[in-house]
Amino acid sequence: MYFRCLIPYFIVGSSAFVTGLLNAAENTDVPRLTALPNKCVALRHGRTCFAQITLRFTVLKPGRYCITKRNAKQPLYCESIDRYGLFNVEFQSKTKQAYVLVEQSTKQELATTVIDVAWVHQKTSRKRRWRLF
Amino acid sequence: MARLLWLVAILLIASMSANGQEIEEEKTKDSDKWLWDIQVNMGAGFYKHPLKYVEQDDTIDYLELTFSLDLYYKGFFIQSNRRRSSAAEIDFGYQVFTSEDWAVDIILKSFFEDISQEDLDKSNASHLSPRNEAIGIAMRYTHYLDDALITIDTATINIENSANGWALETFYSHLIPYRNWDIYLGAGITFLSADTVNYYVGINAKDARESLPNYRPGAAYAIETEAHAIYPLAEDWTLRLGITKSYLSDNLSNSPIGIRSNTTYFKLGFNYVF
Repeated sequence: MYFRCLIPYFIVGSSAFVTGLLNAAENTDVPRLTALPNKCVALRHGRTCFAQITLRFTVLKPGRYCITKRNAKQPLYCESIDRYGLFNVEFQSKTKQAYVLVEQSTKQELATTVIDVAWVHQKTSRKRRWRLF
Repeated sequence: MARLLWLVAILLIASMSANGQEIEEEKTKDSDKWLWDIQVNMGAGFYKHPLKYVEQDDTIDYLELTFSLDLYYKGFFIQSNRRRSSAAEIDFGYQVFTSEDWAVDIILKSFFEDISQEDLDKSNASHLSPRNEAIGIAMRYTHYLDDALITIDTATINIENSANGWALETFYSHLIPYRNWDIYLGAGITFLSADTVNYYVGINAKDARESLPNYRPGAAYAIETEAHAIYPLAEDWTLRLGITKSYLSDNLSNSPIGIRSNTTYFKLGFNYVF
């Protein structure tokens, strides 16, 4: 008896929960910019790190949008899109780097993502390339 | 020689336990205190053994699992050979002098592996005595260039029941950084004294047989060339690829024991960096 009464609530509750999860995953309310991978690993601290990074972005309305490096004057890439965009970046940096999604007409920054730089070994001196001490 | 190795190991372990607290504090500092680095290597190695009749037979012969420990404390050190394709070489030593450009160390080092009874059995030389691992006490001079390293080891090698032999080994290693790769290209030559060579690959008159005639090859040399590459997979994982080609002088490869005139070692592995 109690089970029968609870089943509709369970179904409604489950449905709401799943919808919530989907919304959270899609998060369509705000423009988004994500990087994959979001970390570049070099062998030693201070070395330029190289990686192929895929930037995915989602916008709320059709228009022309650009990807720029933080503090860079020129955009890396611009495209007219309805909703989703994709751009491959050849990452080269010794330090972490932020990328920004910008609406071209208004220059408004819509979303930001950061690509971190990590390393395996700390030591960098000439001698340390060859031995620990 | 074995006693000396144990003595160095015991001294290092005793100092380590007395200063265990400092390891964590000082491990990344360039100081006169504890410095250490531990890596575990997992991978596969394909090689042609210097002895003609010794082969990689089973799957496990191809697998490699090695721990490499680099440790330094007030001049004493254990050093693995990271620039080389095979990290199996571990040097125990004391740093006599060091600067940014060059260094002089006294080290205990293995110049080549032992020849076991099993190896001799495979070589149809069962009646010969096994040869011990060639461990030498060496004075090492190291010169650091911008992207290169030269080492010169002058060593006396302990030979069982005989006068000591000697060896002179020099190796040049050049680092080429390419994108995230470190590529090491190296070449070296080792000269071995007549006593050393006669002990390891020679046949005494009393051991001579029809198939194993008396053989006294005298002084010899070996040349090595190598390419070795390291790639960072994550903050604590690296990929390692390497190939080493060795060429032995004719008087070594002509030994009746059965020695290859050249050998190849190819390695593919992953290192976990602690």
